Amino acid sequence: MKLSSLLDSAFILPQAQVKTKEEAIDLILHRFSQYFQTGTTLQAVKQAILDREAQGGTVLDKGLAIPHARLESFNDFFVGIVIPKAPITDDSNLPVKCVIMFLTAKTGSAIYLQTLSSFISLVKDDERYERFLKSHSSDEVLEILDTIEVQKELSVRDIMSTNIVSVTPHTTVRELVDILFEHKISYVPVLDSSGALLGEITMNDLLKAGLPHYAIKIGNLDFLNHFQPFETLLANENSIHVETIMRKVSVSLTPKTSMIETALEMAKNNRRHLPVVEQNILKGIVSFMDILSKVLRF
Amino acid sequence: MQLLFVAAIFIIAFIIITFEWFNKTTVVLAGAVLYIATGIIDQDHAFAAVDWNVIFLLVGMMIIVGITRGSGLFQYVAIKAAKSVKGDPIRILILLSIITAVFSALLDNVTTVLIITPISILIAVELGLSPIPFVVSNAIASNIGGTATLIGDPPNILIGSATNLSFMDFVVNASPAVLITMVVYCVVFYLMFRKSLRVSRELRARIMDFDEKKALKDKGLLIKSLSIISLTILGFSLHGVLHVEPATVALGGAALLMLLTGEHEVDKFFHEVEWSTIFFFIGLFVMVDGLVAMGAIEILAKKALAITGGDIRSTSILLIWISGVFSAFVDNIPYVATMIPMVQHMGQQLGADAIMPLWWSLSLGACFGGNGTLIGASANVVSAGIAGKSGFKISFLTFTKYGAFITFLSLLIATVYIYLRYLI
Repeated sequence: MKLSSLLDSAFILPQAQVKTKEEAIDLILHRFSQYFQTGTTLQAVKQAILDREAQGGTVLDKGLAIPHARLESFNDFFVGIVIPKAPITDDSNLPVKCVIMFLTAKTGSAIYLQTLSSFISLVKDDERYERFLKSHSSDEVLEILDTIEVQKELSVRDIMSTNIVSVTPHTTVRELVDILFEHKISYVPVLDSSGALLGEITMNDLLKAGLPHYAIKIGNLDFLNHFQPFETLLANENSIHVETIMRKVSVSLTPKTSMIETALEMAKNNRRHLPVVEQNILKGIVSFMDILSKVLRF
Repeated sequence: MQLLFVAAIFIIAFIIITFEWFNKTTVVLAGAVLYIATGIIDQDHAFAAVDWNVIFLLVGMMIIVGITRGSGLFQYVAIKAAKSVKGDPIRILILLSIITAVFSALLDNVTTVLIITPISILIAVELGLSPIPFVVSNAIASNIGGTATLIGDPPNILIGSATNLSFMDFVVNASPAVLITMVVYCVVFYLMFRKSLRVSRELRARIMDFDEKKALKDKGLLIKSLSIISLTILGFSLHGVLHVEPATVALGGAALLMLLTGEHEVDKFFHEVEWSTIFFFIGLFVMVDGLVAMGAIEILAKKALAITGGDIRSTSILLIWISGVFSAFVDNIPYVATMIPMVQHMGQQLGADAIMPLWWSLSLGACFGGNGTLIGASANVVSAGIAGKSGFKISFLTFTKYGAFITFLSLLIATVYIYLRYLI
């Protein structure tokens, strides 16, 4: 399916004179109300969008804002595009260069995510994105978007994160702990210089490395009144390397792995993060938070 | 020709197991299937060869011990012991060895070291000492202690079941030799480590800080499992009189304990059973039966008797030392499983009563022999594994240095004991 087939020139507003994101939302909602019946008031629709805005995470890379809402009494899929004449800088640090608003039915998350991922592929293509932002008419926009396809099925590629923090087998435990702390993450892939996935480390592996093997085997250390589990680990954090505590990759996905398969692998293997690999090269990481924020509560 | 084929397969399987090229359970199961598929023995005979008394005794005990482990009883005893000698390392070492020996006499050796070794390492580390003497002495003590009873070590389970010797028969005949060996072993280790295991009062105070009561996680479970273990051991001691086989006693204990501790957790209890060990025994029984069916064992038995001239004294003493040396290098379970029909054949020629000393020679030789090298017994391999993963590598030579000496002493004690008690 072509992305342009989901769009309508009536809902594409290039060179718009808007100063704030809310103005952009109002503008597109006004157009929306002329063509669609929702069973609720326009005010309620706007409130649903603003509520979702308040939860954050609706401004993506390169100034792409995606206000959106799921509506109770709406059985369609609506996409509206507002391209401000000058970037909006009102409520976030990122200047917003383009506002794409989505309204879907209560259960319409698949089509939303598939469409969104097409827009993300547009944004990634710098040259095309520039032309898109400078368009003067809705027909011009449609023409630029004409060759973009919307995938039929949602795959892990659409929700995985691609800016990956990784370590090498020779990273010391000290550096590893710093990295985990700095980025507030609990999972890092271990890569070689070519980007091939060699292993992975979770916070759990680090905790286990801090406990001596015999302590794990005893199983209950309640009887100890003074035990410093991380004593040896901290004392040797400069000499212990990641390769000694990393574990082999037991489960990995490919970018084409479907959402259902991703969810199944996570649930089955009790994993919070899974690496996404293509020909042994790490392409991204999908976490259960990605599923939470991008599928269950978009 | 068939005989050669059967023997060749058996020897190849034995070699693969010894060098651990493949998992031993897979090897014996493959061997057993090969025997059946090639018509060496038919399936009915093969399955009938499995000694279910051994299998269910093992299953029952694994379940009982698995459940009891959760109570923290074993940790409690170990910590209590360490505190009772005021944290003095050499006395802890000896006391832990004695505890290990007693537990091993009543439980499986591997289970015992799995429980005692980690806590021993912890105590040694807290005392600022190398845990290696502690780990080695636990493993050795578990092999010695296991020899004392019918249920203590798989060779005894096999012998007891094949001969209808009762639990009490083992207590009366094997335990005295084990007791003497334990005393000698404790004296030797005391003299060996007395000088090197000395620590400051401050470090000893760290041990006194342990709160053993907190090791007991589940008091209810403790009471239930202690009662069932006591009942089971009582059942074992009386099984000769009551004419109830040990397997029934063990399964009875397991069933009762499962009834008492959880209505909905049966699957969890069955996870405590080491199924690979169980199937190792099953495959092994079939393979040994193949050897018996082809007459290989009979030939060996006749050859052995020809060498010793049918003299029970020399046969007995030779059996101790051959079993000891053999068990130091190969798994003593398949060894004993093979030797049992051989001794039974000798019994046909010499009379069942006349060969009684041979059973004790086989038992003491094979069990004590496990201490000969690091690979002589599973308990050694398991304890060295735990120590190694905790950062204290025990090499083949380190273990063998102590183990071989103790094995020599214990085989010597067994020889004198059997000679004095049965052969004059």
